[in-house]
Amino acid sequence: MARIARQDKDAYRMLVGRHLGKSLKVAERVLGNRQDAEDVTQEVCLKIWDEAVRWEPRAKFSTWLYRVVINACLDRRRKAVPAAMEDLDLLADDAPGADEKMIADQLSDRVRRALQVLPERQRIAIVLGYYEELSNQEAADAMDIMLGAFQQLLFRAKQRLKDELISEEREYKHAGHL
Amino acid sequence: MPDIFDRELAALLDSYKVEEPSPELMERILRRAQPRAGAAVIPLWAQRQTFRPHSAFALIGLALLGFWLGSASQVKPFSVTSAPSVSTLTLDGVILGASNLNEVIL
Repeated sequence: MARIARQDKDAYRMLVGRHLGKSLKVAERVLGNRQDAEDVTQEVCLKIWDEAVRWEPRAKFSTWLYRVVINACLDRRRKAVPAAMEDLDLLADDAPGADEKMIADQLSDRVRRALQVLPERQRIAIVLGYYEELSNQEAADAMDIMLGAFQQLLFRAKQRLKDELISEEREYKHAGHL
Repeated sequence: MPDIFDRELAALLDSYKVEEPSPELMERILRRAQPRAGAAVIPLWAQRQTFRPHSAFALIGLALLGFWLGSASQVKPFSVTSAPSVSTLTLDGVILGASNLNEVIL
């Protein structure tokens, strides 16, 4: 960060290269939309460039980055709720497919929709705790909440996802066998 | 994989795939990261200075201390060439309250 503060583009390229994929995946899973996720990730990366001179290493860089990405996603979502809901409605219109790729894509979309139905904080808890494989303490730090509160969020998110996904999956399989 | 997720839910969650970032996104970000105007001429230590309340109090305190020290240094210097008045500074005046030694003897 000290090198980036001195406008060292090579250092910036290296840092962005290291964290871009992670930031984009978090943003896409939180927002449920690739285009918005790319916009948010770009915004966050430019913030790193602009704010490097004021960077103070109070926390791990990755923890700070997760926090910035999450806040940027929440801001984005607050500003664009109607568009996000419209996208979900379109995605809900699944067409039956025959080949494996189509089935895999449909399943992926179902999980994405189920995640989007979760309250924001529960969804973030799943993204950080499951997909990013952060420890509970790291995820709680990234969300700026207490450890116990994070564990509660994760527990509720898991229960709700089970209700949404597994029961639906069983009904689907059961109907297929009939 | 965290223990709390049972295999069934984990398998479903794993089916949600997200693509890696495209090289175009990386290039777009690097292109938009432009040098900051004037940053080259401002030294790093100066760029790091940000306003904080405790810094402001420290500055005000220093200013007051400087003002006080400046005022204190305005005391007129003692001159060894100018004779002090007898009534206030001579030994007999201080101890006995007389204007000169002759008065005491008399």
